[in-house]
Amino acid sequence: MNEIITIASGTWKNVLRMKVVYFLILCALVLVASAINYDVLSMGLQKELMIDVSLVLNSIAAMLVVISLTFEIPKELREGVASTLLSKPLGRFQYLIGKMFGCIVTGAVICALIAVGSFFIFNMSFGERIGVTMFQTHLLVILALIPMSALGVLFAVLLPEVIAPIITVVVVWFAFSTKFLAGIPVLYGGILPDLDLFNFRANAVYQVQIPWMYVLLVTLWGICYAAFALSLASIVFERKDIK
Amino acid sequence: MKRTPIYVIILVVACVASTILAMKLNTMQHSFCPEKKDLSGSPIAGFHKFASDVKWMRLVNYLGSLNTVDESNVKQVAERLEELMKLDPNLEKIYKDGALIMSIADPDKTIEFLTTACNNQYLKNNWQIPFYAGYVMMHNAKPANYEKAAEFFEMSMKRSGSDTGASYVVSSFFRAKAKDMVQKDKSLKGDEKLALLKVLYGEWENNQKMGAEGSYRNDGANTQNLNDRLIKALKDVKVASEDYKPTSDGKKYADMVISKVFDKAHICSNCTAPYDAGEKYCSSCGTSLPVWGLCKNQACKKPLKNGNAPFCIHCGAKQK
Ligand SMILES: [Zn+2]
Ligand SMILES: [Zn+2]
Repeated sequence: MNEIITIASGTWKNVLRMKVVYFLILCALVLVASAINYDVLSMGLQKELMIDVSLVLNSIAAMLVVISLTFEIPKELREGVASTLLSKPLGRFQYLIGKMFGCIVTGAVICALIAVGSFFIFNMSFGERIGVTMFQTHLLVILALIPMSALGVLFAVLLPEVIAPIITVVVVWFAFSTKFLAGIPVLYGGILPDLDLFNFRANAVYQVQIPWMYVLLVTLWGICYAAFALSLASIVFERKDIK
Repeated sequence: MKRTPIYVIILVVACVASTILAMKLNTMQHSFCPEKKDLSGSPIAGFHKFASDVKWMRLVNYLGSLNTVDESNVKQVAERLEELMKLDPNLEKIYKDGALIMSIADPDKTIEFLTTACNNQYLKNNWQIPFYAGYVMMHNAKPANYEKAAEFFEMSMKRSGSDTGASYVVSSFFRAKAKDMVQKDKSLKGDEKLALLKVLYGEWENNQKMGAEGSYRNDGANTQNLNDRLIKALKDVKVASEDYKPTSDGKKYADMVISKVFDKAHICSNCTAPYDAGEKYCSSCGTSLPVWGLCKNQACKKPLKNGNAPFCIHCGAKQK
């Protein structure tokens, strides 16, 4: 357990220590705030636009965190950062889990900062309270980090260093459009993820509340899918030669 | 190496559990996000709403560059609106600001878009959209389909309830019904005023049959409303105006309506002005009127106070 926490905290400390991360968060918030200038061009939809833009930027931030993971794992393995742990019997599994948790925590912190910042800007701009659905949709962006991080870990150990980030982006991108496979068990949701299950930006804009039961179950799906991806990653990682 | 079987077991169990959950979630989301299954399937990573925001602003910009929407550009406008509907079907502005802009250039397409909006789950309480659909059907469609227009107005009435701001919806509904009747019933010879009276009387009869319960148009305010409309329609049928000459058929029908609906309301059969107890001639037009509200005492026979007081103010006789 300690090993996992060490790896995880190493990961989030690495990212959250960088000043550029906070600069990017600030940029995102400036973009959110700029939505208010589109009142004429959108014919009075600036409020809806702001809600949506904050969610879009938050999702992109989550994606970037996962991509950074796919750069980091191969680099660490190459530099032999965790070589003592990796030589232990359970070490490799612990390393992967630690990396995944580190990524989730990093993403959660960054996304939460963007969400809270957006809520603040929204409240300042329109003097309105934050709707439950707005909160729920931002929460879902954070929860989507669970399966996304697991995918990042999987591709980082499965694929060569150069193409792992690209494939991760492509898979995450298309994982939002797997709905047409919904009739095929195992393939849908089991092997291929449906990240659109976390995507309710339109609900936030139109304030159609999401049942909390759904939020709970979709979290459960994220955990199950992460377990799937991580066990697949472990099988591959066990067999990998690490210098 | 010996841990591999454990990983395989976890892998299989997790895979089965996630697919079961995902399928459940996929159906579950239809209840609070029904538009999801009809959204555009193009792989845009779930950025449908954002794509719609951008496309909407580009459309506003594009419309600003056009002088008018006519045959030369209506196709492009319709295409852009269709794209928006696939991305963001709940966006009211697509229909209220977007579709209506092409109602003259392409009324059929406009009605098609508005019909989609009428069936939209999120917009199911919006009464303006069916009203616009009926309006376009009545005024822009060629040929006008009054029957369909009346259906849209009826939908609008059901949605607006007894919202007093929507009384023009009710007017439009009856007018569409009347125009439909004129179109179908050749014996009316294009007499829209008589048709309107017939429609209103039909509505009144219906309300009587259904009694107090049932009809959404049958609460107190609306009954009053219907009576006012009937009086106005009666006047229109009976009194000549610049562009209308009363017909004998019309007058006969109006008398029948007066005797059925207003037997206790006492209005002049010629000009529909109300009159009081004991009055023998209409104060507005001089027509002879059936006298009502007189004292029961044969020796007195003077008008009662308000026409229905329990005791006569002239002789003191008890009336009932
Ligand atoms: Zn008179
Ligand atoms: Zn008397």
